[in-house]
Amino acid sequence: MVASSPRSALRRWTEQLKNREDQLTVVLSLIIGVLVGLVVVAFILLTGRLAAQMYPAGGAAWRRVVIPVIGALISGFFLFRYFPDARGSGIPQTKFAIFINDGYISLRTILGKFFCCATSLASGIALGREGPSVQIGAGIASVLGRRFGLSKESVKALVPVGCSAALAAAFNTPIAAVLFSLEEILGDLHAPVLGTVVISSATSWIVLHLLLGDEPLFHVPAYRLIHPLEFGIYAILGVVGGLGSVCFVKLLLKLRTLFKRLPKSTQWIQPVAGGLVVGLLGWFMPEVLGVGYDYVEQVLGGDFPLKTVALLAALKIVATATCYSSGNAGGIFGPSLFIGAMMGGAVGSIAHALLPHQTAGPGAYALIGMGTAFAGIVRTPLTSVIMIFELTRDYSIIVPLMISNLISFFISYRLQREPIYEALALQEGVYLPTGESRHELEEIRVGDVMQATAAPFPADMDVLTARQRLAEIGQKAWLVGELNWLYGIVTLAKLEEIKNPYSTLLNQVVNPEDRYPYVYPDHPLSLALERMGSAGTDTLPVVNRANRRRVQGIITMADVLGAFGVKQEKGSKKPT
Amino acid sequence: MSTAGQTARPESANWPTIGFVIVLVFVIGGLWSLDLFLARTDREAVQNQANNIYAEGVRALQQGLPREAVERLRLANSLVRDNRTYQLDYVAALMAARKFDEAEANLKTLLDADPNNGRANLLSARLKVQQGKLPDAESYYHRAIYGSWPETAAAHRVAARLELANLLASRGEHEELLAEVVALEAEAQNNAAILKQVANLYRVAGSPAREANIYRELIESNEDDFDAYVGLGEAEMAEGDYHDAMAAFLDANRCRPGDRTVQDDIALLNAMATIDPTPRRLSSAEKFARSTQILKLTRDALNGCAKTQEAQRMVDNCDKVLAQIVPPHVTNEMSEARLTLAEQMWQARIQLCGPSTSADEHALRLIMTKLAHS
Repeated sequence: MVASSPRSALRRWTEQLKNREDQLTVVLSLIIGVLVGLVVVAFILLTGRLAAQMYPAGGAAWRRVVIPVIGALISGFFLFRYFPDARGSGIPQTKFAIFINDGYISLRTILGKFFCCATSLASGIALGREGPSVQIGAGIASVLGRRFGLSKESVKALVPVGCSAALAAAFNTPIAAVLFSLEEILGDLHAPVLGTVVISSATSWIVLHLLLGDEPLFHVPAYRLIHPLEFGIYAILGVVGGLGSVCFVKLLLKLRTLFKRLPKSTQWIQPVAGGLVVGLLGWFMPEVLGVGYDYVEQVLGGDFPLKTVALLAALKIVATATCYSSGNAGGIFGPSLFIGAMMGGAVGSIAHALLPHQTAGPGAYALIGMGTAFAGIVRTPLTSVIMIFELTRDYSIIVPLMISNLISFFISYRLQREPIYEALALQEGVYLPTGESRHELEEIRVGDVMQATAAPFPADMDVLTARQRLAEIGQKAWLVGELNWLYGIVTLAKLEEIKNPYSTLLNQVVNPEDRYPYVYPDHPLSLALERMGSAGTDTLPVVNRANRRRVQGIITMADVLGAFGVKQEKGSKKPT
Repeated sequence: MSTAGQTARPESANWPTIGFVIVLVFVIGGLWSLDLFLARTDREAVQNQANNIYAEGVRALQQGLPREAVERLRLANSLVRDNRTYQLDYVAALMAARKFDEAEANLKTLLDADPNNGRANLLSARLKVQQGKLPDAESYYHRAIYGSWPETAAAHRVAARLELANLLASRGEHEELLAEVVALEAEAQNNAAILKQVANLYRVAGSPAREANIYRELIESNEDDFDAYVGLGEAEMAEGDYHDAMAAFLDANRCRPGDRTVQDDIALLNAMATIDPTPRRLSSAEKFARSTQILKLTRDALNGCAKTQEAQRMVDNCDKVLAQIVPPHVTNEMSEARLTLAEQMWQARIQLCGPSTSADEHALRLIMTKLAHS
């Protein structure tokens, strides 16, 4: 046997890649991870440097008013004239790409997002860099997938891969990035793209670490629970965070509606309204400008006057809502963390003033507050817990964080049914599937709909009788065997091929060794429909999880349609 | 993995050209270089900014503006996070601003990362002192003493031990103090300034002999050390050796003629020399006369401050003793009897009026202390 040279092996592997989309997708996930990591790092550093140039230390106060206005004007013009798809945060746009455009995001959108966001964020617009990074990452994945000739389905599957790579690099939170891509972008924590999403997130994170080192976004002192009473205060913080989140979301949506009513020709100048508001607020309180992570870290580090943090929470809500709704490019992740930290700092200051010996410093509450606002605004409770944990790398906060986040999420859910990104999409006339709506659909299980009393055809039934029975019940396929021993599935098409239907028995037609499609009673109905489609049958056995030969019921296409409220004119009769 | 499973790609799939792959590689390389450049520029700019803010913070701390120092140092820390000096100075500023909860949380983080850090342990010790947790404070002081210091470790360790010794001295924990001061003496390594503090602490710990030894060594290395002579004089005086104390004060006076304190000490010793009943060379008559003088002084001291019946009874009793006719030949036993009575009256004076602080009673106080120890 002659050993193949590395060159021929490489050629063979390339040829294999050409023909196998799954392998190619994995390789592309690595490339996407590297490329997105590099682009996002460049985006963050460039924005930071530009901002430093715009606002040098000891700069005059007038700059805080003028620069956001100029920034909004420039980016507004370019967004209107050249990059209309690069407006806003980038998360709804990415979801549009997945659910409407087969994963298509243009290179122009990526470039527009990069430069317009860098301009507006550096000028002090009170929006975040993470949402835009997600769209940039998704766009890079989409462009690469298309350029490598992947099918539309595979390009669609690559978009969350780009999202997780972007978020991992932007926030330095690889696990939260994976969860966010699944929980928010796809709305399904069990999505089959998990593997590639993890690969790209990890790759991007490695790139980030090679370039910028191992530093969490926020450094916080090691907080600890001082007294069990604190759980109650964290619960109150959850309530405050939930209410604050609802205020923010409602204000943002309301303002967005108002801006959308303005003539379309004014779209290019609308962002200036955001720039002006944030500039005027920044004149009095410079902390309102930009994403404000430096200030968040300072609040996390210790106590601040109650009035300052409370005022900053309110001002940031106004500034971010105005900037976003007026059409500036930028996200709401960063601002939601800022708002949460200020709300937490305020609650913590009050608690610490009232119960100094039973409570930790206000910084601990600011930390938990970030999670509550994120859970309340973005509505991804799992991601928010993991994200705050990764941002701070402080495990001791996990339990209070979970308590506060869940309460905030619940309050936000009760008072503002539509999550923010879905509500924004709705304003654009797009109905995106939410995790909740998917969940509702999946709440109907096979076991709820199946025919528990229907019996398979006996294996010794002749083919003619079987044909007649199928015609009677109006099905194209049925089960063969006994309830405790399923032989397989026989289709009408196969029975009609038999030349001696009188003398041929079903056990001669169906081979028990052949694979047959099936579902379990706890499977969602959508899966039954999917399996019927891929097997080309209208009947499936519902089998026991411990024994696939044991039949617990039968489900037909008519049963599925009936469960979704679609009545069939010819009702099928159940054979007994 | 992908939803596609083992899906075959469509025949018409558009495989990228080798040119595209090369472009992709160049794009990645270019981005990598750009990121490295941006990261370096960013780091330098941020480091410069942090350095300036840190310097402002330290200045504010030195000028006694702790709140401003906290603000500046907090900002410097958020800009450059891995600088231990910034972190430690920030904690010091927090403590100066009396933000003890925050200081504690920050110290915990620091010590979790570097449990052996000498300065972090020293700051923890100071924090515990502020919180009144003295056993914890002592423990942190010891960790600071044996912890790691980036530079001039020996000096830092001595300073930390000195701080602990001063704490023990202020709390009157003499046994623990003595143990620390003995170690300090070994670590001081001929540092005159430290040795003088050590000597002073020996006196507080109740070991004037060790104190005197240190001053003698200091005088050996510098015969014109005024402070050493004064210290030696005070140590000898505490030991009751007024003769050597006088010699030391006279040497101090030679080093710095006209020093008021030294002259006061010499005057005090002269006064004591006239009433001290303990020298062996004294005749019985002289000893008796001095004992009588001491008895009169203690009677006046008690009579001057205490107005109780018991005090009055003791004063009356003393007067009776003093009124007794003195025989021509007095004995030492008679002197001892008068001194015993004087000691009883002095104890009564301390019980009824508290420890004597009067400058007029200084000589008597020293004599009575010496008598109590003899």
